[in-house]
Amino acid sequence: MRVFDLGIEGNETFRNRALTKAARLETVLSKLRAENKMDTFEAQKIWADYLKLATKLAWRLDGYEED
Amino acid sequence: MGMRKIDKTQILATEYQLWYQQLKGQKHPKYSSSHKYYKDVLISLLYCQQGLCAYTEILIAEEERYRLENFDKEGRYIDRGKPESSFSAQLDHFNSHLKEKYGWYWDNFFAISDKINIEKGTQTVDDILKPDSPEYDPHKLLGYNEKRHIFHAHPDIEDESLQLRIENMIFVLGLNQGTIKDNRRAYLEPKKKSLALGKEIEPVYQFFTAFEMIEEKL
Repeated sequence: MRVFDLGIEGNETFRNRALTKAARLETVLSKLRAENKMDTFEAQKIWADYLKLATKLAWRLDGYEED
Repeated sequence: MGMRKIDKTQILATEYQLWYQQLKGQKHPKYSSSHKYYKDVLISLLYCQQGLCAYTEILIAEEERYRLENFDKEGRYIDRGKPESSFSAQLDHFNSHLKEKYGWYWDNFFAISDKINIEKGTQTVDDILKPDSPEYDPHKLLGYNEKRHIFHAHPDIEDESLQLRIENMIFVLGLNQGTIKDNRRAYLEPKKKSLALGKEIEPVYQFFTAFEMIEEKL
């Protein structure tokens, strides 16, 4: 049985916040990747936050690494 | 809205404008979509907004339907009946709390997509994303994820409370509303690909802010 995450799936406002935040973090990561700064501590922290949200939002991540 | 800055200084509905100026300081007559000035205000706003929804920038009226020729000498909109004078645009009171006492306040009006108007409802607003505010600058406040076609707070903004204020208003104004996002993606994706290949593209007529942000990154 799949665990239903109320924090994301049951509250539209919360889900919207997750959506815009994940989109923003993805934009920041694209920029860091273009600047070859993905190895920094800050970039890894953003990546971890992003992955958590993207997973909850069930975003497809394929191809993202090529950005 | 994507959201461009809007200049509302030119009011084509001059009869409404005179009437409105006389209301200064008083409680306004009851606002209603069947009021004689409803369409006058709506079309006048569409002129200021170049036919686009003030918030989402989706096209809601072609130029021939809102240009000056649609007003008579007294500054009244010439209603041509259905279907010519039907619009998917509606008047929105940006701050819905002002609707009851100051329902005809020009500064509080925007023409927006009917769907967005229904979803916005009476949600509390923050002037940070008011499209005609003197301080409003979409390029300083908003960012655009061109892969997912989602608006978010500008990535250079580090203040979390400011990020939250902006992203809450993105939600309230429906910038990432499902159908809007689908339309924006369908419209901009081919243009994005053409730009990347250095091909010429047709002039853009909607979703200007998102397009400009895509262009800036290429």
